[in-house]
Amino acid sequence: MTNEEMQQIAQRVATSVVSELGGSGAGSPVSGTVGEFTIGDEDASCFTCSGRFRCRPSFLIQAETA
Amino acid sequence: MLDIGNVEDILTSQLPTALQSGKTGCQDMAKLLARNSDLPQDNLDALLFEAVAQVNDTLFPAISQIEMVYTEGCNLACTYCFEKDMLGHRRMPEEVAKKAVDLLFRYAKNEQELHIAHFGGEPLVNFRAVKMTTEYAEEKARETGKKVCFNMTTNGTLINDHIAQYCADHNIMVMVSLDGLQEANDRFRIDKKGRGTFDRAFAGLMKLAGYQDWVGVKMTVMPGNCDKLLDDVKFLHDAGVNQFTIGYATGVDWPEDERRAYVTNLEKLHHWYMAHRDGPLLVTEFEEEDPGPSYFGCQAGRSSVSITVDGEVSPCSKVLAMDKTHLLARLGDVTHGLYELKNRVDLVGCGKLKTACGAQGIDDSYQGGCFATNYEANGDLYHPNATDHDFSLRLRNSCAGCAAAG
Repeated sequence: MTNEEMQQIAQRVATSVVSELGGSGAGSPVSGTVGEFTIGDEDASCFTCSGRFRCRPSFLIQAETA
Repeated sequence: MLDIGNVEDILTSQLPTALQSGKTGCQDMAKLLARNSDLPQDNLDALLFEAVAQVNDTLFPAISQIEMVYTEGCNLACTYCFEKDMLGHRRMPEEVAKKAVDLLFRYAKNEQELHIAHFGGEPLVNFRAVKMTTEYAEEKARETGKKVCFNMTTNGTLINDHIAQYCADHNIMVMVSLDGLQEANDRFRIDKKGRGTFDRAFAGLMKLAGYQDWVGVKMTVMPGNCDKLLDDVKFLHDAGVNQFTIGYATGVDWPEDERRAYVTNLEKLHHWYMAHRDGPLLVTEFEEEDPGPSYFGCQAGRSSVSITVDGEVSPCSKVLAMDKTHLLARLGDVTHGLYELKNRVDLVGCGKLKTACGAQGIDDSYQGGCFATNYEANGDLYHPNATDHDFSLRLRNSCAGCAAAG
């Protein structure tokens, strides 16, 4: 397995895993509107705001309250 | 045996469950891949590491600092040491140190300036590991175009010319733990024969000052030692120390009169500092920005992690020392990365901490304090420590705006 193959597999797995965990879109470094806040910054990522904004993936919110 | 495509299928279907099951889940995942693949173990570990890293990339901020616990050994026996229950004789193997540096660079995302804290025990007990890690990280920085900065917390007693020269050559910012002059320092900072350590630590400090312009001291203020604070800082500054990190001792009883004495003397120091800050002098507590009431928790587990001698990942060195039988809020290990997602959620999101502060009606004025001292006081990382909260209010009212208020 080359390094490039490994990167590609890991990327596909991670995308699938995040989606499965309930994190699709929300908090990801992509543009989009989540709840009352718009994430348009490439650096935007979950918890960077320390949870002040309610734009977190449902999995993470569930995990906090579990 | 399964091919790469099937390895990917296993990862895709099993990893979400594994990541929610923490250590056991990830270990089972690694074993499952090994049982069902002809790929070398190193390749499978690397694939799992990378997949977990990419999940973290998506959900969490970058890691820009690691603390390296090179050894659990220390040549001193300071009475208040928060690590005294953890200390032993284990040392970090070279392979673990390299993997830890690899983890830092992988989890740094787009961060350009990374930090490595050389820590212990007493890191100079394992100076070989300090050197190896420094040079390996410098090599990684050159390869990736990033900048890596080093600091080291040491008791200073083992510093010789070779070590001082090395630290100067590699820009390692050394902070010597010294609680003041002899009277204050030697009450608590003693060796294993019960002897005071000021003379040896101060000699190490002066050795450093001969090789670099910027020399730092970490002062822990114990009850009964508050009145000497300003005079001791002035003496050390005159002797060449230009950076101070000052904090009250935790895990000890602070009577009311001693709390008042600490705040009063810190305020005196603040006034003195404000009159001298134009020169080569930095008192960290008075310079760090107050993050404001909306920022909960700290950098532990958010942008900084600590690596144990056997390669486990903890939020910080103080948290890992709190329980020698069980690593609190464990985040993962250097082989497979930060796979204990629920623990990272708790540390970064601080939902439990906010709830606990809210229940006490202090969430508007307090950010939850230090996870480790919360545990020290209450047996719960996310239950705010009343002493820390009290000091926070006193310091905020005393020297408004200074970061010592926490």
